[in-house]
Amino acid sequence: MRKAYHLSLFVFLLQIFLLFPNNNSLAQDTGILRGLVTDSTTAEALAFSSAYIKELKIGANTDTRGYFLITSVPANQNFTLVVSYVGYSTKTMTIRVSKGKLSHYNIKLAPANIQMRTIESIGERIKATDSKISIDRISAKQLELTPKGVESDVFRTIKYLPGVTSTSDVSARYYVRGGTSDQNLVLVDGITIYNPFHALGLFSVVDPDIVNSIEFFKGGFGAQFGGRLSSVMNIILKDGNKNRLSSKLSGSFLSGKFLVEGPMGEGSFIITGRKSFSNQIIKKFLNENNVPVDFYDISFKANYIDADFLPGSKFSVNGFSSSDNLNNADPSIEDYNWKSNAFGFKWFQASDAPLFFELGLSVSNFNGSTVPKFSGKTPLDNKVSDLALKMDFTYVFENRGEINVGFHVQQIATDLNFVNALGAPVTFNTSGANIIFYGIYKLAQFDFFKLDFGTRVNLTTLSRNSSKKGLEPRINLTLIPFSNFSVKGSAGIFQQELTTINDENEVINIFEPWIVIPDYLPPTTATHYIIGFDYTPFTSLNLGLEYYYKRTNNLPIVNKEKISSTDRDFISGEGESYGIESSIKLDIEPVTFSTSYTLAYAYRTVNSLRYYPKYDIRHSFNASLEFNLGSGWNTGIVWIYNSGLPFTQIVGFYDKYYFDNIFTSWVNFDPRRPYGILGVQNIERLPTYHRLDFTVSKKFIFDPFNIDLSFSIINVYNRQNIFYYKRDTGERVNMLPFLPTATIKIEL
Amino acid sequence: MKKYLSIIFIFIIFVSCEESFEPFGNLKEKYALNCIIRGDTTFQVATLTRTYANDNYNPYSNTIDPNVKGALIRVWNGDSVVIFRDTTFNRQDDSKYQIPYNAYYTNKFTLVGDKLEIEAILPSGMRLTSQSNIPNPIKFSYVDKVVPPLTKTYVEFIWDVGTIDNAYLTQVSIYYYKKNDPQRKTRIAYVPARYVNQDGRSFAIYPKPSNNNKFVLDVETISKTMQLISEGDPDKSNYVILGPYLEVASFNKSMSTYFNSIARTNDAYTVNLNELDYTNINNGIGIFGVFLRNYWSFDFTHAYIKSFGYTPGLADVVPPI
Repeated sequence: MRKAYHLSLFVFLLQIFLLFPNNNSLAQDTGILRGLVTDSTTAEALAFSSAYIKELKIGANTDTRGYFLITSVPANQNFTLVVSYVGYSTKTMTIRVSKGKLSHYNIKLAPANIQMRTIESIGERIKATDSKISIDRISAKQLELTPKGVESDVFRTIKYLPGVTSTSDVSARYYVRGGTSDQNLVLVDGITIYNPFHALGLFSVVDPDIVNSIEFFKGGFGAQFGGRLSSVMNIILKDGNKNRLSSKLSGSFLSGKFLVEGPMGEGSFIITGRKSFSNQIIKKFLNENNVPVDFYDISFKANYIDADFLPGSKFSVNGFSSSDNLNNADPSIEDYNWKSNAFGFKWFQASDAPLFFELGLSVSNFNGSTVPKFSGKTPLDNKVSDLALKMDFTYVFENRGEINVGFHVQQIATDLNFVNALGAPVTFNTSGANIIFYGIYKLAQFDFFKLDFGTRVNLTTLSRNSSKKGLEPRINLTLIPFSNFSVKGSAGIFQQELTTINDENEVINIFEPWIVIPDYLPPTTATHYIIGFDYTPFTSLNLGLEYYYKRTNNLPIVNKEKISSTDRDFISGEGESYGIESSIKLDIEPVTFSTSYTLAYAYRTVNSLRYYPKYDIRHSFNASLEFNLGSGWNTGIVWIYNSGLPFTQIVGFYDKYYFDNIFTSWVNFDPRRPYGILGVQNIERLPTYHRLDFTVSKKFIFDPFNIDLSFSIINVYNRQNIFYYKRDTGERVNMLPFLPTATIKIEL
Repeated sequence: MKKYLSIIFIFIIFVSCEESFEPFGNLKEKYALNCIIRGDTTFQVATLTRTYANDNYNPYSNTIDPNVKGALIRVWNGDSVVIFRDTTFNRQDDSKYQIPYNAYYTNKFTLVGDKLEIEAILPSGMRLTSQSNIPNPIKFSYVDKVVPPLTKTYVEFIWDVGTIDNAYLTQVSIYYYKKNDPQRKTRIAYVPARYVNQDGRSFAIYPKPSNNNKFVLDVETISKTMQLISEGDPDKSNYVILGPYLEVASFNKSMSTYFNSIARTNDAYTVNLNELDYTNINNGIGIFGVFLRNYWSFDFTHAYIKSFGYTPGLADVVPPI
């Protein structure tokens, strides 16, 4: 019955798409302009650059592939197209479209002699028309300029964004607007990556050197994204230099890296690898504890373009592999191994009509295991297998309206086997297919009002719980009363059927095993409401403010009270979060200043107990200042201030029995050790956290090499930020101390 | 310039401020009752302690004995009630508490029935209670009787599965004495679950509590323990081997859960600030549990004992085919 309902809904939506008024056929006095914006030196696509027809005062941003489409351009007339992108010389060119036809332009932008900063700081006129909300776009250059914690890191960079919190310097794990860390979707060129962390969560597995750009949605994301409740990090990989072969070597105190890229036939390739070689820096992160972790990752991408074979097409393959091994020489300490592998194929097709089509096939695997050896720790083995087929269509109407439809099939199998502390084997093996259809219509014909609405239709779900949701409707709207001021709003329903077995009280963990939510629990759902405004009083100044409210139902919580094999492993909880995020960005060459303040509240309710989750930060303030000093010199500072994280006080100790040898009479000795008794969960707050980071870099040419030297200081004034108190000894453990680091990159 | 210096000065003042922070809350007075009833003895012990705090947050620096004296502790055992007496025991360990520790005991306890109840009434009138089931004695369904077996390199012991979630702990001991000891004091060598060689050193790995109803031990491990009995002593024949002995402790459900909770400590790297603190004491903390000790003696062949140069102390046995 339910399947029949889904099928009829799918057919209905398909009919709407097919029958939607296509004004293109009616508008015979106009044509369509399509452009592909690339870097003139590498031919790398420039995502999110701005294209603007001066005389018509209309424009568009490029998509993640560097393409833009502008419809309803009067035919057979010359117009001035202005294409701009931060860090590149603005290009002004004459364009002319033919009546009733699509005219394509390849637009190459030359890098300017300034450092690229935020993409958002330009193209303001175009940005105001964008109905997307709660989105941050980060370029590769911005990743480079952010002060480094040892080395550039994708995840550590987003922790500076308002609404994104972290529980420590130590971990790259992040929490978005009161959501748990497993509610964050990480996509690398469209492929889901599970456990994207190296070394106990210290660093991300994605090498920033292969990243073209990042779209980061903190909420209100479109119906094309699903399976997670809180955020989407859409990482777009570089294609590789199409013009010349180049290579790069770099080293930090943590790892050594290489990168090779160059042309390959009609296409290009890029391959990068990274290998850890020292644990000394990791010790600094972990309170001087020796953690013998060893990791590597390797990524590649190759693409093929042949106008003779299939005009407007692009084929690409990309792969990714990362591995972490934590092997101890001591047989009484367990070993850990975890690996992620992904491989994907994509066919992108730009047709003669204002239509883009993309077909993607991918496989992503995660495998993590605990090898107890003779430690007493129980063995654990977790496998995740994700096989995905995705078809996405984008069609732009003459009235500038746009429709996106897609059909995604994701076959996910999770396999978790472990032996519990009593020696009983526990197995969670689930396999299922999530087949979805989505449709989004973007109403863009009015200058003062933009609207996009759509839904995800879950034709099948992973969970067999009957309360799963078939529809996930979402809506975004934008009002533009003035050209430099816009008001945006968003609402939507989101569903998640995968969860990690993460204990929310762990401040450091090795890796988080993934499972499909057991059938006895309903899938987790969240409702987002967001409203905000964006104001650009001057070209160089941008002000933003957003209010969000998020309610999460059926949150799976590890049942800590499980004492019997018949007790359930998970119980259901509820989550609620809301807050206000404000930001100011000032860009006056050669200085960029940005600051943000967030007031946030997050709650969780489990077994009728409402408490603050460990990542609830009430006040958060970030300020960053970047200077382009010229002659290849750049410097920047970032200051972060967070009010204290919640923690649970110890309200006393008692002598707890630890029977080290039950066979021995314990009358004459005392088998007891002190044990801390906890008060009300997370009712108290740790002291405020603040830290100043500094970085300076210099690029110079030492023919034939381009050399990039970078020096950073983490925690310049050596703030003693508390991490946690050891419950057994009362010892205070602090986060990162004053830590100078350096990296060197040599490019050939 | 002065303006910038002022801003930097104000900033430094601001970030230098240390906030008052109290990681420990006001002491929450609670009482811990611990009583583990052993099925193989009439002598039982219970302890009663209070929670404590100390100024420097380190519980190991507390030297004030938290034991509570003067309480009335009773255990209902079938139809009878046993009262535990207040006493002190001398310590043989290097406890931080420098005085004999206070405990409650009885030496007239024999398990009857299938359920026990405990009650402790503190001098303040506070009442702590708990109930506990008695685990079933183990019935071995398969055992190897002689070491070394003829057809395999390990010995195996299997017992019937008891109540669900019951945990077991095993121990194999080798009993021996020295001929030149005039008192012929019986000595014990404990056989680990396994020896592991790492970097030229040998580590003994002892069994952990588990709800597996099976115990497997390699003959190689027994042999290594046999060798270690006389390590460094050239006079091997001075050692008279009596034989090996298997003990299986079977825990009732609350004890099993308690073991589960203390075994659920983290791995070597995870930092968890709020692990489970299991208790089955109403109105307090601690554990009231029961465990039974089950025994199985098996034999070494004389040839096996002599292969180490030792002297057999019991009659020879023939391994079954």
